[in-house]
Amino acid sequence: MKEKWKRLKANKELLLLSLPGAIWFLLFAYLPLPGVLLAFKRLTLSDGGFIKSFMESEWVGFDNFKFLFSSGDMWKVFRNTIGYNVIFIVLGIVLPIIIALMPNELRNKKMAKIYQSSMFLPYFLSWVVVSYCLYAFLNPERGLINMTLESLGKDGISWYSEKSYWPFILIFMSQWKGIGYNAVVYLASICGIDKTYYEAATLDGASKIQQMKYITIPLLKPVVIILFIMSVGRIFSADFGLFFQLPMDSGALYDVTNVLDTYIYRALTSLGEIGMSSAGALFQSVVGFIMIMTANKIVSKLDNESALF
Amino acid sequence: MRLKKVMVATLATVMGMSLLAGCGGTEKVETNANGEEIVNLKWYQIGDAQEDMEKVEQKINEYTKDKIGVTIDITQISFGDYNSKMLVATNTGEEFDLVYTCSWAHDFAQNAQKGAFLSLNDLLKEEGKELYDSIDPKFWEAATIDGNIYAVPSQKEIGSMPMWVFTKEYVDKYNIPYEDIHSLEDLEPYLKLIKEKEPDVVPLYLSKDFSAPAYMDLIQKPIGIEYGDETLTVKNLYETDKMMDTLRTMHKYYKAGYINQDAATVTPDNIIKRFVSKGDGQPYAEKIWSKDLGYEVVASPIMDTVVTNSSARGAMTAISRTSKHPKEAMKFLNLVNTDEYLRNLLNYGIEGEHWDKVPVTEEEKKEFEGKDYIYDYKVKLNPDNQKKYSVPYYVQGDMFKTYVLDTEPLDKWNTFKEFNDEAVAAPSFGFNFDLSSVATEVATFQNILNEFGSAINTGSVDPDVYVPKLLEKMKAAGADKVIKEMQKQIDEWKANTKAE
Repeated sequence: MKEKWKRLKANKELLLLSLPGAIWFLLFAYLPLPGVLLAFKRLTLSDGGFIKSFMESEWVGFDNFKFLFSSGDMWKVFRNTIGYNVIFIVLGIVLPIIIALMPNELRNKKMAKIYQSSMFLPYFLSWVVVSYCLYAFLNPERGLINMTLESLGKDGISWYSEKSYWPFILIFMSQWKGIGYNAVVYLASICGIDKTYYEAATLDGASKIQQMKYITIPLLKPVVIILFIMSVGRIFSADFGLFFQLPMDSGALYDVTNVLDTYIYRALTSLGEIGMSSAGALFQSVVGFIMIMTANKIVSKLDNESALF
Repeated sequence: MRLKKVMVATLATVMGMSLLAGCGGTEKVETNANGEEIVNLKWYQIGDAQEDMEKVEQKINEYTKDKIGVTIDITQISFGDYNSKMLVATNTGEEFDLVYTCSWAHDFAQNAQKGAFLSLNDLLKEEGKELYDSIDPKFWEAATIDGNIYAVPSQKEIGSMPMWVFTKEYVDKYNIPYEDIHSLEDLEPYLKLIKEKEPDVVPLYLSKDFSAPAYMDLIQKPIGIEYGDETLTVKNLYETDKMMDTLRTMHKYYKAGYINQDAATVTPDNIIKRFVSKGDGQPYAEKIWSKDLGYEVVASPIMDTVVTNSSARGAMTAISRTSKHPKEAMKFLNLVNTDEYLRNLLNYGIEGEHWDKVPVTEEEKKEFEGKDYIYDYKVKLNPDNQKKYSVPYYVQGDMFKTYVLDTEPLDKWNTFKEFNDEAVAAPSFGFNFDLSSVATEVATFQNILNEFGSAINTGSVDPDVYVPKLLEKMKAAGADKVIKEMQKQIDEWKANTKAE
């Protein structure tokens, strides 16, 4: 006991630093945890507020989960969710690293800053705004692309009902929006690399490419792995705005745009069954949890140093 | 051990603080001139927040404070957010008194069945007698579920009245007898004419929310009872012959180029020049449309007006079960719906600021003598200030108790009343579907309808190919179970109502 107290005292600055975060997690992640049980109840209202209604509601077992699997389209929805996420995870690692490496090599630091900031900008736009910017390009009658096609004597494309283009559009737009933000993370860790490594390498006559290959990338590996494991945990959750706003909720595109989040949204907005939406979220979290554990296990098998925990 | 104590103490402080933050200040007890305790009511309404709402509220409170000992606090929530915000407020048991509900936002039947609203039967007898007598019994019937009235309806048009909306310019130019055009098929020769003579004009302009005329009460979209079917047989809209014929005609028009090619994916765009489109009408609807579109239109009803639950539940106000002051809430609703001053204040804002009274001439009054809902004044909106207070008129109460605008006929509301009296009730009017046992199935419908609905309804795809696809998916999602359950419930309902 005494020893523990001593350790506590020795680390009090660090503990104090972690306090706000800990409180946040306590309040917003751990305190509402019993709400998970909503997924197994059919909420009926009774006098005396939410807690009482919650306690008095009937248990329905796994009934609330059924809607996730009862539709014939479910495999398509799962395929889209996982498929896009796998692509996003891969591109989300490769592209930002390239982007992060480039300004690092730029001589003119001012230009590097401008370059960096402009890459970062799209991240702050909401998908609704982006969807209308895209609409300006893809509008079937007066859109920039169709007008160009028509002026070249070709037929316009009705973008919002041709599903074959959308996987590319969605992937392109998601990378365009997220790349700057992800690049900053890598940029920060590149800045953190000890300059003496590069000096030594230059003295030994290593080229820029060789420096990148043998210093920068190996030292980035731990960050890459952490980000990879974290994104694997979200493999069953999709960016709602991307899949709902961007295609303007066009029914003809559902085959390639319907993901778990949009499916649940459409199923439950008119129904208002809070138990079923909890079930959907719980399902995503549980699968995410399993994915994180598995990914971490695999990583620790391969390289024990880099595993998250 | 001490660590644990510290943890517990921290936890207790944090929780205590959050509790305090949740509670806010304590209520002050205020009394009015009559010595009554003043009760503040919280009222949730649909509609965009208005700049001058506070000003108007002040005026209302000045008046109601002394009259019934009530002040009001109105919160407006925009159309897009209303459902989700009210869902949270309801499920978390937030305390509020009055809430806007209807068939198309914060669903009346679902919430009433869930127990979100108070039964008003006794309250209406005690505090709302005047109000009860002033509203058409058909509206009360729609507001009743299992013998309990759960909301006070806003009196307006009771039936659904889908209409063709024609641009007057072309009607005049080609002398089109628009008043004789009703069914979809009636349109054909004129669509052809416009297509040939006016290449820049879309003959039939549709957008993705368009639904082809359906002669059916869609109790749980797309499942319901056909109009006029006294046997009360539950059907899927897309399995009826009538709908298939309609959809085939739509597809024929689409292929002939009568319909804009992007119909299935666009949101309505007022700039597009069109000959005809479809709208949800009411008496004098063409005046509203002309104002919105910026050019003159004329309209013709597609089918006879039918009263369904969803049409009669177009706008209502319920008292929340969490209300601490149901009596005062009813008193207030009673006053809103029967008091000329208060009703117009809520509707148009402050007289002299947002609008001006225009006295009706004796001659005009004489012309409409003996009719109902004729008032001494009309309303001239103040074009500058009106923007600061412009609420959807149906949200707050009985529309028949408001003055008409100076551009409208004095007997507008009398026409509405006649329209309501003539409207025929659908055979399923008054039946409430309890979907709790088929919620799983219903949840999957929306995705299917969204996927195919726009394309099929706008005629963009061949119904003989795509309707079977839709039906197959619906079957897989358990449509038959829903049909069976609804049939069971409606048979019970029929047996009970016929027995009475």
